[in-house]
Amino acid sequence: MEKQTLGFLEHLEFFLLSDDRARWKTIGWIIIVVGVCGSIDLALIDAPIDDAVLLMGVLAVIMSVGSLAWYCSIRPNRNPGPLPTRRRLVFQAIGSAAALLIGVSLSRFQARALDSALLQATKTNDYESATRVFQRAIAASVHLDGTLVKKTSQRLLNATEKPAAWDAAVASVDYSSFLNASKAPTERKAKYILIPAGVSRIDWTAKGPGPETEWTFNVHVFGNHYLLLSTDIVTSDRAARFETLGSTENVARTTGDKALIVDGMNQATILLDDTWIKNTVIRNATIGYDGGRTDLESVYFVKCEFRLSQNQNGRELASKILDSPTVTFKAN
Amino acid sequence: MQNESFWRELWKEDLRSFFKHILSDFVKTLSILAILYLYWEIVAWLRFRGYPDDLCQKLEKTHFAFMWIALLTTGANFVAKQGVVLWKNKR
Repeated sequence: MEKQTLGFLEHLEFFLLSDDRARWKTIGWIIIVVGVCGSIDLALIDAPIDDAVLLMGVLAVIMSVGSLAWYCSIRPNRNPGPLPTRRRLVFQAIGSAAALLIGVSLSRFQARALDSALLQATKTNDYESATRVFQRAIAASVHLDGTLVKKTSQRLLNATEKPAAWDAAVASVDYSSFLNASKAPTERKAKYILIPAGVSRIDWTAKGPGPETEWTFNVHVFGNHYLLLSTDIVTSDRAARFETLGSTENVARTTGDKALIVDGMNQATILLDDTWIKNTVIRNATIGYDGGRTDLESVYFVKCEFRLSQNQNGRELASKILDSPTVTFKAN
Repeated sequence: MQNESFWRELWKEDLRSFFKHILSDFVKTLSILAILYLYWEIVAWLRFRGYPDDLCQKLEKTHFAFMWIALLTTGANFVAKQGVVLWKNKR
């Protein structure tokens, strides 16, 4: 009987196109070994994501090359495994469909449970429970029923005489800002320049193209944060503002940035009293408002935690945030 | 009559095994992705049940690791197969 000698490429072709069992065995082992190593690196050693991805990539390449080399040179049995039977394929397909169904029901179960808890809390005027529902929805990234949330929030805002109702109303404002994450402009949708934490005065003369002179963003932000400035330049009447009311520092400017993003990195507190904020996205920050004068024009609050005083202006601001993702609000 | 036997032969010799391979790959890839999706929802459910945030974050990181390598390997499997078929046809 004539013995056939196959080259590396023929082995590779056979491995990829015919030997289903060996190929999926290799894929399975690569997923398990690299997945476990990546998990240890990310979750236990707390390595940065870039390092972990690099490690997993290198490991995946080494394992792929190693298993191919083994298959093409020293693997004793060159017979392909049998093709999977129809029955086996059907079982696998049913298994995947079942896993998908269980996943979808788990996700719906959370929303349904929270919706029902919120409805119950509203019916019985249990404000503490309503607060807890909003907090759990934010923590678990659960989207509640929009109509129910709107009705509940209005009811809470009207029950002003009870401090617990006010706390629940503010929690619903927090939840509303959590929903804005998908609606607000981000640096992924347009070009922005990063301004490091603590810098509030931008010297454009040192940065090349931009407004003809220095532009000041002098709202007090307490804690770590950074700014992202849109590279779109517009006339100053349409430019982003982030300054104290009555400030004269930017009066002489004729051009400015179209938009601004202020990221509080879950550490900063921004006070809205005595501020003029325009065309700005404020995200991951604690927002304080005592009910003083303020001027907000097209401001997005994204994933913010609010500390609003229980007074007329505080209620109006809460109502505006609940009504629309972009807030325009003026208080004298 | 002759035409019919040609198609039958084509189906028996080439297409049947080709479709079985593609279907087998597709079902296996889908199974892996379905398991990972289920894992993701279980982590979200644990978070919802009030399990510590630290634990949930660690589990989310493990999910990322497995998801990343699963997408890489299953994607590479399809690309490599197509690459070999193209190379085979050119040869």
